[in-house]
Order: sequence, then structure tokens, then C-alpha cells
Amino acid sequence: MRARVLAVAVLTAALSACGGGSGGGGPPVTTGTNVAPLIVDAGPGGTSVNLPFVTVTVCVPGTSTCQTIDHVLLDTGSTGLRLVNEGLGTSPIALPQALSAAGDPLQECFQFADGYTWGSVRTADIQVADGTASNVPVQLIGDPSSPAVPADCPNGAVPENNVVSFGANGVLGVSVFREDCGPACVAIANPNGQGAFYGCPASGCVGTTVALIAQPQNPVYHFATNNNGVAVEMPTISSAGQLSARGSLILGIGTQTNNQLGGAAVLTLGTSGEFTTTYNGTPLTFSFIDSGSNAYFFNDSALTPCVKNVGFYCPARTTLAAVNTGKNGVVSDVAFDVADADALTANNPTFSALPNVAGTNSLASSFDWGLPFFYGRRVYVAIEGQSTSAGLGPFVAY
Amino acid sequence: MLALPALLWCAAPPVMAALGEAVSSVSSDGARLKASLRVIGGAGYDVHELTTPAGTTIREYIAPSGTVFAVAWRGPFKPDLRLLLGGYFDLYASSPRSAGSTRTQLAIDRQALVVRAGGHMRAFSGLAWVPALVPAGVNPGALQ
Repeated sequence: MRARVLAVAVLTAALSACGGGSGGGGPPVTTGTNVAPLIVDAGPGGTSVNLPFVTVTVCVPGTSTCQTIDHVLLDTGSTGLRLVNEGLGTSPIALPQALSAAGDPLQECFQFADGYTWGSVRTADIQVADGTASNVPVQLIGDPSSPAVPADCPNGAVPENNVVSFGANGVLGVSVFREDCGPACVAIANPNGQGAFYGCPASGCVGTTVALIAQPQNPVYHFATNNNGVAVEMPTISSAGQLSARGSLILGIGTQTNNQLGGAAVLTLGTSGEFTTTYNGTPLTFSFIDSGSNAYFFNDSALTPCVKNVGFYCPARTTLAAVNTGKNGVVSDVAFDVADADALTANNPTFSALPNVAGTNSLASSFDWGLPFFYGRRVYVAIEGQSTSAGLGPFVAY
Repeated sequence: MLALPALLWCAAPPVMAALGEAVSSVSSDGARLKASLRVIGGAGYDVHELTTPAGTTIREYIAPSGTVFAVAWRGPFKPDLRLLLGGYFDLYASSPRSAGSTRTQLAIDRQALVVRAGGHMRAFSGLAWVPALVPAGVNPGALQ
């Protein structure tokens, strides 16, 4: 997930608290029991732009003790469900604490490039649309019962353990991976001397290895049906942007009449979920599509930089071209527009759905296709090792 | 470009220095990282490349003066930045993030230290350099 701040006005508390958003986006494009609505609105922090939120229900495993949480970021760039404790309100559900192999309470230090979350690993039944993942590990960010952050967790990064710093009540990671860390955390307790998972007896937290199945899980992988991936669909929006926009999270790929791949280009991926985007003749080998990124992020020194939204581009609206190439050699031409982000935000400072927004990428070898790529598209994300009508995941298709 | 792979993988605990340190001031970083080391000779600078057991590749860029002027990393986990950045770690941790930084995209632009980093779990990469130590003719932003 990669939410960069754009200059928009803070919406009123009444609007941002209503949960359903308002105006603009029209009805969901796709219907069905395997569809969860998405809303792009100002979010719990009141300032979000181009972040799709979904509503998730979590239950104490095997019981009807449940809590429904709105404004959970739908993120195709991370894996697993993370809930911000603060976003669970005054009576948060009491999910059972997961234990390390040694029997100690399991805590996770989840790293972003410049940020981390710290909190307990707990188990939950996760419900999204008609899908239920039973008894799977999730992270409870900012859990007040967690011990203090171990010294080797932050690694110089910024804590993001409350709703404002996190920008959502949680994140539902539905990437191509089955679990968040993967094999590395099965083999190594303290990767590079920094934390990932810790067992935390009263005597203090110690880095620990964690089996794949005990790591926070992509819930889709655990659904009884429609478990090979998802499709994320957003409507075309006005060129000026909209107050909000509604889309769809569709469970499964090629498993129902409403999630067929049709003629979509299928790009298989490398071990970190990457494909190659060739832009201006340069192959960018660590490129990806990410619903948790709120703009296109790539480097082009010919595009006018913004004055107000520093780090974004502000050209007169222009159409650009790129070529995406999967590991399978499938080639897909993409045309996309970049417009003046300062003008878009100044003209309609309360809008939360803005098309054609792009900014610089701190990585020279990466093109990050964020939410603007999803407007007017359906993007499929197939989970590693799962079978689809187009072969095994991992792949993205659109 | 890095043209001349010069040495084989070292059997002994590798030698590693932190950013801004002289490469001759042998530190225990490499041993602590349990990393294997490869030395690559190049035009204008040398590169010490280490791969940690966690699969992170670290490159240290060494000026003709023998000083580490830049470090880069790529892999499923970030490196131990306290070790890698050495005396610059506190500046890294305390510096205001430049406009446009996000939780998965980081830019720091200080007179003494520049950092570009990004990625997500399973795929992090980054680059840090000390502008005052960069040899003439080297574009640090192009290092990887």
C-alpha cells in the first residue's frame, strides 16, 4: 500500500462518519453474493484520496461473536487482515491471542518501506461478501495488551499504530501471496537483525520463526469457494474527479458468471510479485499493480512537477504509453493520462476520487500502477499456486 | 557500470564498513549479518556486495579514498540499517521525510545524507549516500 498525501480539504465529521459515503459513484458495477462493495471516500482520517475501502466482519472463531468494521483499506499490494485497535471503537471484539510454537503470545512487527505496525497476532473468522476464512491469523495493530515495541523492530522507521497514522481502520491484504512474510519467516527468527515475529513471554520479546499457516493469511485463499483470487473493479470517473466512487471486490476468478477472465491480458509474476513495465524505452523490472497506492508512481523528468502537491506531476493533461510484460512473456500496451494534480485538488478540494494523478517513484526500477489504473477497469489478482482458467497463480490480469 | 568482477566469495567472515566509514576500519557488521561477500572492481569506485541469510543483497560503494560513500539494498527484508548506516543512522531515523514520502516510499534529502527507498514486504529496496563523499563524476542516484 502506498498512500501519498494529496492536498484536499478535511470533510465534515458527519460525512466521514456515516460509513457509506455519498454521492458521485453510482451503484456497484457488478452484483452477486461473491461481491463486496468498495467505496473510495475521505476515510476515517477525512483526507484520503483514491483509497478503496471495504467492510469486513470478524468473529471469534467458531462463534457468532462478531464485529463489522467499515473503512478497511482493500490492498492488492499486501497480504492478510490487519485491524487497527483504535478503529474497533469502544467495545472492540476480543479475538483470541495466537501463540508461538514455544507457547508464548505471538506479536508481529510488520514493516513498510518507511513505517511499521506493531501488535498482536490473533485468530479470527473473516467474512467478506459470501466468503468465510475460518480461524486464521490476523494482526491487531496498536493492541493495548501488546508489550512495548522491541528495540530492533522500528529499524529507524515511523510507527503507524493508530487510525490517523494508518489512514484506515485496517487493511485487507489480498495480494498474490498466501501469507504475509512467507518462507523467510519459517527459516529465520530475526531477519537481518530486525524483527518480524516475536514470542513474548513475561520475561520479554524474542524473535521467533513462524510456520506459514501461523502467519497472517490472505483470507481469500481460505474461502471454501472463489478462493483462487479476486477481481477489483472501479467505474470510469469524471475527469474532474468525484466526491466519492463505488466499486466492487469480486471473489474468485473464473469461478462464477460474474468473474470470468474473458479476454484479459494475463501477466505472470516474479517471486516478489513483480512484472516489467517498459516506459520511455526503459524496462522497469520491479513494477506492480497496487490498489493501496493512490496514484501512478513512476519517474519522468519531462513531466512538470507540482508546486503544491510536491512529489506529484502537474502537466496539462497528457496521454502517455507504457508496455507491461509478464514473466510469461505476455505483452500488454497501456495508455494512461496524467493531469495537473494541483489543479484537480484545488478545483474540488473535497473530492476523494481523482483520476489521472501521478507522482515520482523513489525506486528507479519500479512503476507502481495505483488506483487510477483501476478506474474504468477490472483487475484480477490470482493467488500463488491456485488454479484458474488461465493457469496457476501468481498473476495479475486486466 | 560495474565491469570487473575481481574476487571470489570469501570464506572468512566478510569485511564490511558502515556508510561514511573507511573500508579499512574492519567492523564486525559482516559477521553479525552472517553475510557472504563479493568484491567487484569498477570504474571510479569498488563495490562490496553481501547477501544475508534472509536473502537481502547489500552493496557498499567505496570511493578511491577507501570510504563508503553509498549503500544500497534489495531483498525480502530491509537490512539492519543501524549497522549499515553507522553514524548516519540517527540522522536517518530523525530526519523529516521529504514531501511525497509514504509508508512504502521514502525520501530523505539532507545536506549530509540522501535516502531513496521503497517497496513492500517481500520486496524492499533502497539507496543511501553521503553527498560530500561521492567521488567526482559519479551520479549517486543511479547506483543500485
